[in-house]
Amino acid sequence: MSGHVDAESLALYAEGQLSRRRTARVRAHLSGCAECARTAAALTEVTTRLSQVPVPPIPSAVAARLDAALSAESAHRAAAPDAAPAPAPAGPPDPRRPRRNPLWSPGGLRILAATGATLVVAGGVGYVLSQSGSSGQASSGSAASASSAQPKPTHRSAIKAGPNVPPGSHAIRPNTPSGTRYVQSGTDYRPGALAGQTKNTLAQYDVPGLSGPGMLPATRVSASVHNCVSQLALGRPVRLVDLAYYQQQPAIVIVLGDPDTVTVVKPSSCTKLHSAVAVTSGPVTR
Amino acid sequence: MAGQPGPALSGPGGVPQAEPPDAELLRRHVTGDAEAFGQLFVRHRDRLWAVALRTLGDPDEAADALQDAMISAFRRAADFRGDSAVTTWLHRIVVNACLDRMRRRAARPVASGGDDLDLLARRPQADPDRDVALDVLAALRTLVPEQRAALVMVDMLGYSVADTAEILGVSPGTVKSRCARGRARLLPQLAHLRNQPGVPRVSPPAEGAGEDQP
Repeated sequence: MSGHVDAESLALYAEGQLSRRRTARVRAHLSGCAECARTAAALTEVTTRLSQVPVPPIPSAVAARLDAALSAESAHRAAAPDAAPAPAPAGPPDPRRPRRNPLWSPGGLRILAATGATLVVAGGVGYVLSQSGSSGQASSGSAASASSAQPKPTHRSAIKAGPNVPPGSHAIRPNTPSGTRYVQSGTDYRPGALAGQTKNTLAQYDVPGLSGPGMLPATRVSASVHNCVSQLALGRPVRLVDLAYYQQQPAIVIVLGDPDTVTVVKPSSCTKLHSAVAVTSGPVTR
Repeated sequence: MAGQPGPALSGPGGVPQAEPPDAELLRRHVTGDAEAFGQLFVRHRDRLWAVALRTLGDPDEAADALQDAMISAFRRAADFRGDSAVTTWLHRIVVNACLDRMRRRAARPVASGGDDLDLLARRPQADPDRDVALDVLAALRTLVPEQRAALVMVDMLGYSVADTAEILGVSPGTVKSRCARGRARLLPQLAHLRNQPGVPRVSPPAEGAGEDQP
């Protein structure tokens, strides 16, 4: 062999992937060439470097998003059990699906699934997000979505509905008081200003019939969030749930009524970041 | 990764005794259990996320790919024949979703190389480990998808060649060749790191500090 062995051959040699003839030639060369021996050593360092890059666990925002997507899928299946299997979501991405739409995420990770758009396209059936608004009932845009959004009571999702569902369950259940208003105000709540900030959010969003930016259909909210809200409410009316921030970290801000109090919890674990405090009473735009 | 056992794809590793095995959860899912698939996902999501994130190098893309893959697995569960472990099957669907995305992306003008390192960026400033990780991940992006997937699984995440071969649907020899070619390609790009900290150490950098998890 004339000259040095190239790095690729050295790497293949180390993996035993060269022919016998080339293996013998590389071996013979390596025994007498310090430079190629250094290159071979550097190749093993590449492996070491790769193994040292930290691998983060799945971010809670992504886990919640997947949770919501699978919940929607379960609900869809329960609502249309005899439907033909939908094609796998292959092909180009749906242009309607938002990209780089940082919901509830300073780091660019979305907490909420774009499940609606995905299912409409991939499922071929109009399972459309609904159940928002104060009535808590479907106000769907089409007959198809109306029928699938209200599963018959014989289906699994209805049978298991109830307040004792463990967190992390994977079917959408009406276990949050109907009419719960989910919003994404984008507010970064702070410990010292919590009551006042909450009052502002209520003024902005707790308006019957309001829809538009910042309002979230309940079906877009993951089952674990629903369960968390239910756990906290313990039968009290839920006035508003804001998927927002607390000291710059994603947080669920839950406003219970009668009398109005606000509690802040961590999305991933439903543990309290700030215990309940009274929201300053006063005229709130209704 | 270094200092940690590689992920085991088969056997009861990591599954507490009381919990049903993967195959049982999948069977329950196929027979209509609304929660079984979610349980299965929760059990494996960190590893599947790591594969998607490191293969694609972009958290948004990884989240999209993982979601597509899980919806696909949810729907195609009845087709699972049991000739491989459930985790292998889940990994295969995730890796294929990632490779599809990478090939589609390769056919388009490259958007800004999304920053996987949003996550790492939350570590303290002037952290040499972070700088090294940034360089390694940037170099990884230059590999063709097949090499990258193999190298991520074997070198970065510690999967065995045999498991990786089964996941990628190729022979172990092909996995070894792809890894070897990938390492050779990364070599000049990482040469400047040879005097940086990291390599001599046995233990990996602090895991997951400052990530989104509690």
